[in-house]
This record gives sequence, structure tokens and C-alpha cells, in this order.
Amino acid sequence: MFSSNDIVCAIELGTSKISVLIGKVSPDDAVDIVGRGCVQSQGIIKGEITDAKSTETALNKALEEAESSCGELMNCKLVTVLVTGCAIDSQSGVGNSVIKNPQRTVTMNEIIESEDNAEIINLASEREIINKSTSYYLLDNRRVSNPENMTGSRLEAHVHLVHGISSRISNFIRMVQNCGFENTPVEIIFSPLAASYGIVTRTERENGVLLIDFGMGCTEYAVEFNNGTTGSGVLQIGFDHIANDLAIGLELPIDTCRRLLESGELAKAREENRETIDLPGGLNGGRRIPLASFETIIDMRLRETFEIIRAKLIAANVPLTFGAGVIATGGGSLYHRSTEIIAEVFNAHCQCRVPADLRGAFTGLNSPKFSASWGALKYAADCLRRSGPGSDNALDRIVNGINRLFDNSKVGWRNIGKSMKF
Amino acid sequence: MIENSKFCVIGVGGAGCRIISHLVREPGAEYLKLIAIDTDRNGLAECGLDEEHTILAGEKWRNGRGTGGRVIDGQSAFSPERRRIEEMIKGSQMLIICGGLGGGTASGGIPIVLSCASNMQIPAVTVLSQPFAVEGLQRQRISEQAMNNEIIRIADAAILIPNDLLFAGLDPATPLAEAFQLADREMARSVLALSTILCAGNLLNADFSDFSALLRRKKSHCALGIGVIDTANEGSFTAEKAFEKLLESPLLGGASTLCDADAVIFTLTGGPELSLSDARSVFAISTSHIGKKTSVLVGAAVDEKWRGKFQYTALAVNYEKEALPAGSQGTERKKSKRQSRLELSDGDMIQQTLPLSENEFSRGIMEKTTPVRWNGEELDIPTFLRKNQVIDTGKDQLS
Repeated sequence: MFSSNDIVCAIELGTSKISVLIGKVSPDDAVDIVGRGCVQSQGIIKGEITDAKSTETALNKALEEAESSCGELMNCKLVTVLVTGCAIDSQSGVGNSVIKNPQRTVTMNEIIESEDNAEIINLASEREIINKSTSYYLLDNRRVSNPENMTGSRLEAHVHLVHGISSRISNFIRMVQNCGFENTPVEIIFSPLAASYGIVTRTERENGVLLIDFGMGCTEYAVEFNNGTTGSGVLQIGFDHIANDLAIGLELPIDTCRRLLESGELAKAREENRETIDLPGGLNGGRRIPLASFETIIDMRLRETFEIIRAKLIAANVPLTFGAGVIATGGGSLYHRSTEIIAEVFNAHCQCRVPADLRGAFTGLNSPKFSASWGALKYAADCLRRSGPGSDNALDRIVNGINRLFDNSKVGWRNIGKSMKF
Repeated sequence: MIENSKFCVIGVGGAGCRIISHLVREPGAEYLKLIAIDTDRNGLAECGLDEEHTILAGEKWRNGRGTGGRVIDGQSAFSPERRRIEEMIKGSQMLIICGGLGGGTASGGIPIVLSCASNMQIPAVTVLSQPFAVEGLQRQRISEQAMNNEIIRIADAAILIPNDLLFAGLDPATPLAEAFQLADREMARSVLALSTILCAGNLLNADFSDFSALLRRKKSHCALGIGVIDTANEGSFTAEKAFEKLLESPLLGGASTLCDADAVIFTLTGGPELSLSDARSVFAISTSHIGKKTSVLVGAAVDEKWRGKFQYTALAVNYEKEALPAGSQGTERKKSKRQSRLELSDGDMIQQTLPLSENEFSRGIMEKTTPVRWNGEELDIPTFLRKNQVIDTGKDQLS
């Protein structure tokens, strides 16, 4: 039975960090952070687990840290795990339902039925649907955003379906279950949808917005328009590729390159109009490399990455009109050229955003690196809240891995966004 | 020593004609005989030469409209013009052929001009530009095929200047039209500098026969650096200044080119005030910056026209070694490398390994991971490598 003060947990297995956020569901439709653990990631490359043992060790460390900070991990009612990579792709599905009741009003049953039907698409046998999000409804061919209690004869739901390769996705789930959550329901969520959940406002969702989560291993993106998701995906090129490019191009050790990128030294050098970067040490007593060389390598990689994302959106027929511009988040968005180049490639205003509505013990979490985790935590709270009376049955259904938050009183993923105050 | 009036510069194709039009206006080029050959009537009209020094190739057949980027059309346009070409170059002691590879006229026509020259036993050197990386693989392929299969076999020396390098030294805010103008002018200056090198000889003698001994029949790619000092604006001539200006020249590709070259030819040109000690100090600095195994030729020339100005040029010759990291066309390069291995069995060449195909590009820390692919490209390979971008690693310290 759901009650306030239930504990939820959000786990992110990322390429740069593994983070665990523990939250307490508060009575006023929000979640307070009560504990967190964050350790350097091991065994994860380009977003996916390649060495399960090291990842498990690191995850256990993070969980210990989280538990010692709040002591409540044992009572966790629901865990959300962020997934990325896994050849995740998205598709739109259409489902119909006929309104049969005599008054011809649309009830939740019809809505649920049309959305269920939308999930029936031809997926390869190795794939499964991870998340779905309703883009819009057509009631008798008229576009509506919420058809409940409206009159009509035929309801069509256009749903954005995210699917991935089952075996690779189950790596994430099994990893979390092995670390102490054998009996807790585990919910998976595609990373950019979580980030969008965490930091995109309702107005932006209506006006059209592109969210880019520029992480260390992958870059994920999601497009929202008219309160529905119209596109999403992942490209397994991340900020670490920039460090790699620099290491190869300038023949520097990879750690030097990572340090240079994170420290903001390149931005400072550009501001001071310096021509070279001096690197002490080495056999010759130091090297002096032209700043332009750094900038060329970095700019080319950044530009190519975002242009590929743009091309992927075009190929998926996602309209590129973003009334609210582009929101960049993730560790890579802190680099000074990222937002500038995104703005150029998409010809739209781009800002770097951090989670804004953090509550509880959130010191150090207001960084773009935690947008996705925060979104996943909020989502976990909502899942729990929506499960309502008879929660155990609903939670059982959730465990099947299909994002379905249905009971008689709620609809799909999108409506959660509606009821959340941003 | 070559008499100047017998020195002939031929511009082929659109780029070649633009270079000629710059040369027409450049002081110091009066002693060169200029010829322009193109399939496009407009290109010829704008180059500024009079009728008798131009040839509109394939006039009857193409009607003066250009080749549209097709090499085969370039070849068929030039074949019937052989006689006219031979007439025009008769009596010259040296040919410099300039143009831009990648299109139809130059890529198709230059090999034919070269064969005319070799029929008449006139030594020929080519100064050619390579298309931008962004112009696409098709033009690059055309440019490479023309160079490797045709030109390098016949020409006595080939100087390749990639367009990307021409633009590398420019301010990114430069308007495009101006950028192209500057690039053309830089090419024209290179041609002029080359002619200076070949004509040099009053003070210290770099004989043409030395030059051709370095370059004849060996597959070589060259890089040309030019530094100019105008004493009216920049103060008096010093050896350090001259050398620094040379290194700043975008076409040279940095000091590492000098270090890595197999041979370098330095030439200093100046007005009557150029003294022997000036020349010696410049050459002393220069030779201290080249590799141990590099052969060096130095030359100097004095001319009234250069009063108040100094020009220091370096021609860096690389045998068998590309000045750029190679692109992704593996098969053609593999063939030419094998061929050259057979040719050069006397062991006096140092074989360098080239990155021949995508397999040999480094992926760094992404080496053992599942590759990420998009549009047939492997994205783990650094973007700048896949797009043939030259990077100055600053590995050679000048201080």
C-alpha cells in the first residue's frame, strides 16, 4: 500500500560516474533527496556494461555510500535504472479504439486500449519496448491532447515507442538486482526521457524543445512538442571521444587531455588571446602546442556529433522546429564550446541547464551531470504514487519491463508530466 | 643559369587561369612567359593575356563551356590541341604548370601538356592545388588518380598544395570571395617563388642541374614556404626575421616539414643591397633547423626589381611521403606503393609507412570497443583524421 514517506531509488550506470539517489516521497507531489552516493565508474564504455564485475564493485560502493548517508536503502519500494546504448531506437506507433458506450464519451478504458494497440508494431524478436510516451491523440481525426470525457466515435493514439535489444537491456536490470534489489521492483527508463523529465518545463514541452544530454560515453537526445515526445535516440559518441581525439592528434596522454578539457584552461586561453598552450614536463622540458590545434580538433568532433544527431532526427521525420530552443545538459555541456556549436548546428538558442527543483539534501547535485538521475528519481516517485491502492499488483506488472503506469486513475507517461508542477 | 625569358608558366583550367591573372599583375613576373589553357571561354577571357598566349581547348566540341568536372572530357579536349601547345612552348628552357586538381580540365589536361613537354625534352615542374576536404571524396579521388597515375610519372617534380592548407592561415571571419582571392594569390606567389628558385644564382649557386638531380623521376611531393620582408614597412632585414616569416607561411605546414623533408632548397632573393653576410646568416639559421639526413641546396639572387624587399623561400621535398595524413582511398595508394617498391631497389630511399586505409587509423582508447558507425564511417576514429585535417602538434621547439 502506497503511503507518503516511501523510499524510492534512482540508479545511473554512466561512463564517467555511477550515481545512486535515494528519495523520500513527500505528501505534496514531490520527492525529497535523503541520500546519495557517487563513485567513479568502472567497466562501462560508451554507456554500456563491458566488465560486469568491476561495475558491480563500483555500484556496491556507491550503494554503501548512499546508505551511510541516509540509512534508508533497505526500505526502498521502487528502483529506477537509466538505460542507454543497447542499439536503442525509437518508432512511432498508432493504435485505434472504438468508443462503444451509448453516450459516446471517451473514458480511460478507451484511452488505455488505443495506447495498448499502438504498441503492436513489428519488432525484431531480440528487441523489446522499454518506454512509451504519447505524442498526441486523434479523436475522429481531430487532434486533441487529452481526450478524456470528450465525445467521439473513434480514438487514435500516436505513441512514441522506445525499444532496444533485450539481452543488453537486461544487463542493466540484472546488475542492479545483484546488488541487493532482488525483491524490489526495478523500472527502466531511457536516459534522455529521464533527463527531460528532470529539467524540461511544461511550457517548453508545449512549444517544442530539443534536449541533448551530452555525457562522457554517449550523447542522448529527446524532442518534445505539444506535450508529447516526437523523437528520441542515442549516439554512442561522448565527451571522452574529444579527449581521445586530442590524445591521438597531439600525441598527448589521455589523462592530460581529460584534465585540460575539464579545467577550463582552453576557454581561459581563448579569452586571454594566448596563441599556445604550454605543457610542462616530458623529455624536452615541455611542449608548446598552438591553441588553434586544440580548437580545430575539438570543434570538428563537436560539430560532427551534433550534425549526426540532426541528421538522425531528419531521417526519423522529426520536425526541427523548437519554439523553446535547445537545452543541453550532461557533463559535456559544461564545456564552453558545446552550447555554441549546438546553437550553430540547430540554428536555435541553446542553454546549458541544471536540475532546478531539487529538494532535500541536494548539495553538489545542481550540476548538469545529475539531470538524468534527478529525472529518474522524480519518475520513480511518480510511478509509486500512481500505483495507488492495490499497489502490489501494479508493481508486479511494472516489473515486466514495459512502462505501464495504469490503473483506473492514470494515463501513460505524458500525463504524469501534466500533473507535475515544474 | 636559365635566361628568364625562356621560362614558361602555363596555367591549366579555372584555377590555373586565375593564378595566371594574378601573375600578370605581379611585379617581378614580367620576365616569365605566361600561357593559359582552359576549356571555359569565360575563364580565359578574365585571365588578362592576349589571344596569342591562350588556348581555348576543345573549342569546336565543348564550345567554350568547360568540362563540368569530367576528367575524360578534359582529356578529349586537350588531345587535339597538342600541336598548338607544342608550338607555344617551343624554345622554353623550363616549364612550370599550375592548376587545381579535382575538376575536369586540369586533371585531364595537365598530363597531356606534360607529355608534350617531355616530347620536346623540356623539363617541367607542376604546382597544383588539391581540393578541399569538404568538396567530397569524388574530387579527391580524381585529384589523387591524376596525380599518382599520370602526373608524377611524367613531371620532373610535383608540388602539391592542399586547399585546406591555403586557408589555414586565414582569419575565419574572412568573406569567402576574399578568401579565394587570397588563396589564388598565394598560389601565384608560389609559382613566382619557384621560378626564382630555378633562376637563382648570382651569389651562391644552386644550379638547375642540382635541382633536377634532386627531383628527376623520383616520386616526390613538395611543400613550398615563402616569407617576404618589405623593409619599408617591417624594418631592416635580419636573418631571424626572414626565417620566421618563412615558417609562418601556411603552405609550408610548420617547421616539422623542414625537419622531416628528404631535401630542402632554400633561396634568398633581394635587391642590390643584399649582402653575402646576410645570405650566409640566413642559411646558417635555416640549416640548423633541418634534420640530419636532409640534403640541402642553397641559392641566392639579386635583382633590381627587388630593391627594398626580400623574399626567402624553401622548397621541402619528400620522397614517397605524403605531406598530409592519407585519406581513406586505400587501393590506389597500395598500388602505387607496391610499384615504387619495385622501382627503387637501389636502397637509397627511406621507405616511410603511410596510413593506407581506415584500418591503420588509430582509435586510441576506443581501440578494443565495439565500433560506432554512421554512414559508412567509423566514428571512433578522430574526426580530424577522417576529414584530412592537418594539425600542428608544436613538436618542434624553435627556442
